[in-house]
Amino acid sequence: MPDGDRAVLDPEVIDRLVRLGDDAGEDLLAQLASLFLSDAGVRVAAMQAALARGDAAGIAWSAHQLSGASASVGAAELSRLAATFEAASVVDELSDGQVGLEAIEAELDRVRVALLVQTRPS
Amino acid sequence: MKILVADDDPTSRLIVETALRRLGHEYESVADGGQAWQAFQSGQHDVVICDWMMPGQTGLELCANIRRHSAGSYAYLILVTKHGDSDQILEGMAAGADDYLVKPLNPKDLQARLIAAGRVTSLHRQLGDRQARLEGLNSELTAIARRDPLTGLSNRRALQEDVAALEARVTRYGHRYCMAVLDVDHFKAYNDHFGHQAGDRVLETVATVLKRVARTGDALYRYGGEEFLCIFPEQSLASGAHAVQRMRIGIEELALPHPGSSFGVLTVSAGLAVLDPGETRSASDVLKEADEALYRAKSLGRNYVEYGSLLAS
Repeated sequence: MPDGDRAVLDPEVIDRLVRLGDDAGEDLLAQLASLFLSDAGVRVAAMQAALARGDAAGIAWSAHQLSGASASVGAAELSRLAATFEAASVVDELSDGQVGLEAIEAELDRVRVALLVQTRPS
Repeated sequence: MKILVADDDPTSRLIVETALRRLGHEYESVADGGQAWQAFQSGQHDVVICDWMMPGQTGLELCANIRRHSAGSYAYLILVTKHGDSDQILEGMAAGADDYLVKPLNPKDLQARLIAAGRVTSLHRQLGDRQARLEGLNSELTAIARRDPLTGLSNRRALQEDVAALEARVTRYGHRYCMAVLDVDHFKAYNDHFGHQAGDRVLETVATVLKRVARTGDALYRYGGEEFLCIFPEQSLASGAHAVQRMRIGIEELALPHPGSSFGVLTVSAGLAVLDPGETRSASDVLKEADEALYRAKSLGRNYVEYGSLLAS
């Protein structure tokens, strides 16, 4: 599906997190964005390293972590890409590993921008 | 409610923690399954919210461990899965989870689960309290059922149970024991003269003397109306006889007036028998021998201790 047709971040999830943060009196989304982005960077680096040494289990683990974390912040497409990558590595179908990882990195870039927009002080 | 949050994903953990703070709950939060298991063992949390996939110990293993090892209290286990995978959820529930949550977490879903958790854990607590009360009552009742209310000594029912245990020990380990039957002399005459209440006081008094003389490990029973039975485990006829003589003398020395007795005071007679190691007689054989010795003690003039085995040998 073309990029323009979908939101990088699920507005419903973002809305829920903003409200939860407001109710708790904390800037939850900003904290989450910074936690998620640093964590996701580590996960992607781990996947690159695992791919380079052909470590399918290592890829599966990091992809799973990234998929869960991105789901939590509403990055549904990133979560889906990571889950697909995880599933592929589990059945050892990593011939297109580099392509899959590049798609994840590209989507992560979009999520990064979207999160920065969401958390920019108004 | 004490809540434990176990999730290796810091993003998801932060959301759960924020939601719990918002709902006013106290919580402890750990980043892997191993830490979660340790924290649970020392904290005994009421609710555990754990991620399905964690290093150290998966949520599934954690649920199974908690169910296997927590006996008394009940922990409400909520598994968190990424996308409501039905197979995962079923597997988790079968392993001991009570409920599940799906990422991305909806704080309202969490709130709903915690309402159920509060209800279930408080129900379990009530059940546990009731169980403990019942067990307490039960052992109290057992003790009451074994005790003679007047003298506070063990009763015949206790004797039956204890004799079975004694016989098993004697058969297995070749132990010896002495058995004595004591009977208040002319008790009916005492009752007729002073009344039944005074008779009851005398039985209490006799029991007090028996308790004073008996050593730890000896067992005392109110055997019949004015009859008492003593079991002296591991004692020879000589040392058993010594104890029974002290009981007899102790009662005589109380000098309780007894107009119906030729001694002028309250006395007891006793028959004593021993089971030596290697003998194959039953406890009721020994009791019968002690009983016959008591009968002879009575016919020999009362206030007297007679020995069963002396005559047998």
